[in-house]
Amino acid sequence: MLSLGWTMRDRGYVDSWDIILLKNINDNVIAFVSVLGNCHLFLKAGFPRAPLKNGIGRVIVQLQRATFKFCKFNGASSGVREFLESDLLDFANNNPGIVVYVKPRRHHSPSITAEYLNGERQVISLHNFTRDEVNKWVKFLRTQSGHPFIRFRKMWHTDNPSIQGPWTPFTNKSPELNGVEFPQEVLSRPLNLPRSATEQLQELFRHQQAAGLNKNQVT
Amino acid sequence: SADYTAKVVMISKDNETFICNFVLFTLLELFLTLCVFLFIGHRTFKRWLAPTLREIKRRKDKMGPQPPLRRSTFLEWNYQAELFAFGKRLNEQFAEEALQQAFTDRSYIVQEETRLRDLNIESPQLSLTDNWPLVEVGEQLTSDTVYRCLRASLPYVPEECISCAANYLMSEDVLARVSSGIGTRDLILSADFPPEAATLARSLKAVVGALEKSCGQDRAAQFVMDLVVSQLCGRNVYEMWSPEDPLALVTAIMSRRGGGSIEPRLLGKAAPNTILAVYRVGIYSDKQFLGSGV
Repeated sequence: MLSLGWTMRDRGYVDSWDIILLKNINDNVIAFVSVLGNCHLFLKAGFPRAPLKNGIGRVIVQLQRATFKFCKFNGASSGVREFLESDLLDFANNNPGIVVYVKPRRHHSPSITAEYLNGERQVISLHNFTRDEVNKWVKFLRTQSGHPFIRFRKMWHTDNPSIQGPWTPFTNKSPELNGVEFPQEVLSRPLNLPRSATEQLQELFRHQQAAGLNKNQVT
Repeated sequence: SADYTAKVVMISKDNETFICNFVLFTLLELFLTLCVFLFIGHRTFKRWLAPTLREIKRRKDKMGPQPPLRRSTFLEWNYQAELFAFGKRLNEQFAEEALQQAFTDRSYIVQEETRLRDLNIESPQLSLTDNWPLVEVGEQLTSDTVYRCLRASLPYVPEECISCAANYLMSEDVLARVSSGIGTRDLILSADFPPEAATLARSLKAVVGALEKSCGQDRAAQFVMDLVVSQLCGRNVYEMWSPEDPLALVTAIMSRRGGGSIEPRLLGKAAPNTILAVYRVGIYSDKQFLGSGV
């Protein structure tokens, strides 16, 4: 059973703990609050996954069936009735892969049941929803994969996070160390020892000698 | 209530009527509040809800686990619409009869014939044909396409590896998973429910056969590549293939390519005199580094 937290099923809307749906601003704006972070006690954690490698070969819309249950007379279903009169045929024509069932039920609150290819169901109450809101939730359901809602630990997933292989103690170790007999004076020296004053003077002297030789050669 | 009591006092002239009116009034008030309470309802949690749900659960548990229901037994079900949507979902144009045949399992026909015979119909005539011919065509096409696709896209991989990968992709588990993921579970007509892996795999092959019959071999091959071969994505090769003599294999490959002899060298070791010794070996050919492993 899918659940957008327990809030969704009970109340028919979501609160800020799960997802924020900005209904009133624009027709096409649906904003999602990040579901990273462990503040969701009841949400399981996981990584985003495509069902059956969807998208690699061809894209298959995961929504299989949508069942609209509504009352022909009650005011709570008026938005759904408007949707069924005006937008349903467009939705059905644009999505021939989704089977749409319409169930008029007297004295029942309107709802939509979405069934997905992985066998999951999502039920959303459309009680007192306007036609626009119904449209948005239908669009929302069409774009879901049917996987139960989880807290995403990362917004990506890969089976092979390391291409060249994960680090081992042998990575970046020179094979020359294999033929070495320890203790060895060269390898026992500290790595970044600064040059002593004596060594710097010796270096300067050598430079001068070389420069002097060059001058002599030139002249 | 102070106003009401004042009015009551004013109306009554003697003690008896006063008491009578007062009692009547309080009863009336009580009745009205109760009416409001009963007819409008109280907008809070219902005290009867939890015990009702508990009782329902108790009775359900007492009944024990029930067999799952087929989706086709629901009221909202239209088989023709579902078949149409199945084809459109996959962006394919199936011939109706071919698709219907693809989903009709032999076990379903046997079951139906038995049922009709039990109803004393001597030679039951069913208008269904089972999917066996489509399964044969589909199996041949699927295995051919998978093998050819792998062979063409991985030219340097040894033959055994290709055949191992092809066998993995043609295995019942993978085909059943693909079949289930494109929505055949509700459409399959079979005696077993939920459909077993074998039935699902057969149905997928039958669907490929039906597609070949409806649209031709090219579209069917594309379908197989999109849905079956893509299942190889992200899989570890060594889960499917374990070479017996890897060194001999590498030597053979290098000799085919005209390279030099293979020379393994020790790149590093850790804890060599213990039971958990680790040796890092590098493979060289003509002193060129090919690869290493632990």
